[in-house]
Amino acid sequence: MRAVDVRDLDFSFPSRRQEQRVLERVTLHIDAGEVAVLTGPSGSGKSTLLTIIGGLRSAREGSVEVLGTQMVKARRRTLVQMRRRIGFVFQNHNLSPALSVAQNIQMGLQHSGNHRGKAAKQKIERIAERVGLADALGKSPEQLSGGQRQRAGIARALVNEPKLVLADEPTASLDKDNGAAVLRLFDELAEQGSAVVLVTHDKRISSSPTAFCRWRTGAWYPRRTCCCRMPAPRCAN
Amino acid sequence: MPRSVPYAWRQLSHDRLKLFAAVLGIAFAVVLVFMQLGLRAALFDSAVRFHKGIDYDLVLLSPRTNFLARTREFPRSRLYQVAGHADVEDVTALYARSATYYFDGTADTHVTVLVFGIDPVSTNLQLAGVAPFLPALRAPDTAIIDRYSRKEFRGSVAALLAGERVELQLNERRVSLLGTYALGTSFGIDGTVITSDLNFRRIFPGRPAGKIDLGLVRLNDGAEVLSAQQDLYELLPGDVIVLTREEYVAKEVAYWNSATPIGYVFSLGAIIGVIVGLIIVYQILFSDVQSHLPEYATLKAMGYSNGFLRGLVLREAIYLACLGFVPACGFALLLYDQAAQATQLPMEMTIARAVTVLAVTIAMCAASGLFAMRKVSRVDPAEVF
Repeated sequence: MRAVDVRDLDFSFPSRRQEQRVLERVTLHIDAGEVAVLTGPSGSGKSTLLTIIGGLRSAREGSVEVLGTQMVKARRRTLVQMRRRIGFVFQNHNLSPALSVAQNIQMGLQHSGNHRGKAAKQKIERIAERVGLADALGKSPEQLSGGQRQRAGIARALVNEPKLVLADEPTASLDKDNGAAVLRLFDELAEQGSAVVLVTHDKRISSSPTAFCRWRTGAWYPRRTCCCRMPAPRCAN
Repeated sequence: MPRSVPYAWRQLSHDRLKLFAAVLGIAFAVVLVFMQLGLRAALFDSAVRFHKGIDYDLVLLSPRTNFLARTREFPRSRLYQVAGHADVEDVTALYARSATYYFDGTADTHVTVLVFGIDPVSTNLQLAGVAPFLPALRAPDTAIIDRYSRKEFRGSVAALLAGERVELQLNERRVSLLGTYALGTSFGIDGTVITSDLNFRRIFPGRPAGKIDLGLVRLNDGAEVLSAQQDLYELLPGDVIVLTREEYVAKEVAYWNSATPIGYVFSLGAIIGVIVGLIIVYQILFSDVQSHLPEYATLKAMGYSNGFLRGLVLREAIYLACLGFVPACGFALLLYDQAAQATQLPMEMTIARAVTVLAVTIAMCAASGLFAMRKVSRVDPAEVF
């Protein structure tokens, strides 16, 4: 099943003088069970592409189909609903310090209405165990280390069992062991049928056997399909 | 089993010191509103104590009368005209005029006292505590005093209650006090005394005997008040007006509300209290929203709608309103008590006022929340990447 299908995507940031084109005729396909690692120099449009796939920005040109829904020219309501089906992992995890780790994870369920009851509790405990935070559920994020916070953020993104996970520099603030643990988690997710898109500068990922797509400063290669299949060889351009 | 995450409350209570300061600020504004409304109500309630404390169905007064302490005279004969109407049970003439009371016996230490003159033989003035003294008031230069008059009268009242013989210097006349009754002061009246109509004319020697200030009319049981009022209007010439109890009370309130700046000042004070509260709550919520913008952007990125975030800020505003209201209400009760003791004004906390102020506080906080929400709505979820 195709999780992400991007075709001829153009995107520009509006500017007073002239439009600043960030993405030009980008085409990219990611299937369920794949991990796509997007890497490249700053300003090349990696994060912008991620925000368009995640429904955080609206594109006007081309086609972006995510989990079967067309995101280009989509209504705001559709974009909001789509975001609920996607797991977002942010570089700055942005956990609420006012909530416990369990409540922060629960926020990943609340918008879907499945946040109450025994089943929700089990889901939270299960994902916390998976990310190694089973003993930290009652703690405040302020009591956690940087790596633990990042894992709590990942648990919040994954608790709703999304079919697509978008992660922006998920290992940037982690040490080697924690970074490796996070990558293993994404591998497991892919094995279970989810698609994972990572944006990273982390050399540990780009030098790993994981397949990735790289692009040059300023623009994507036109009309080039960037298909990154696990465990496929590098598809460097 | 997990319940919904109490996000708003947890966010609000996370920083206890900040919450305490916020509650203190809101409580200050609410106390300000309570005090202004309390004083405003005391103004009106005290102004109509006499109007509500005496027994009558209709009242006759000059159309030029402003308020109780500034009545204008009209011919006594109007009362006799009214007494002949089939629905009228009895009538009472009332004289009212302000006199100067020299409470230390010197010209520098005086206050104004309102003197009521009544016919001690045929009066239907049923003010609390007056009836037992009516026979004795026939004696020359005698009077009874309101025991809730202002502090300048308290020495006389205390001595009187202790059984001592007390005299008051009213204008150029000394009167002996026979006892006390219960009425209370107002913004326009420091104290009152009641005396006979003859003694009244001794205190105010220039007053013509044929002119009175108020005519109290009691109707027969079953008589229709409005119909009788209409009849009396047709019966009487235009030098008197006939008012029902409610109209008389309303006239007095209207005077204090519109003809004097006092009612306006208290209303303005209450509005300023609300504005102060609006600014305080807005500052609190704005800084709260500002410091949580990355979290709000994250929530939006996760699929939470603007409506959810607005609800979050609104709930915080309502929690703040309730938290600020409770101590403010308690503190206002204490201040009411202090003010009532110091001024003898009817400073009372009513349920209606408490509910009104709570509603105003919630509206005030919600309005501030609405302003703060504009920032939340503009949060771009893409900025978290």
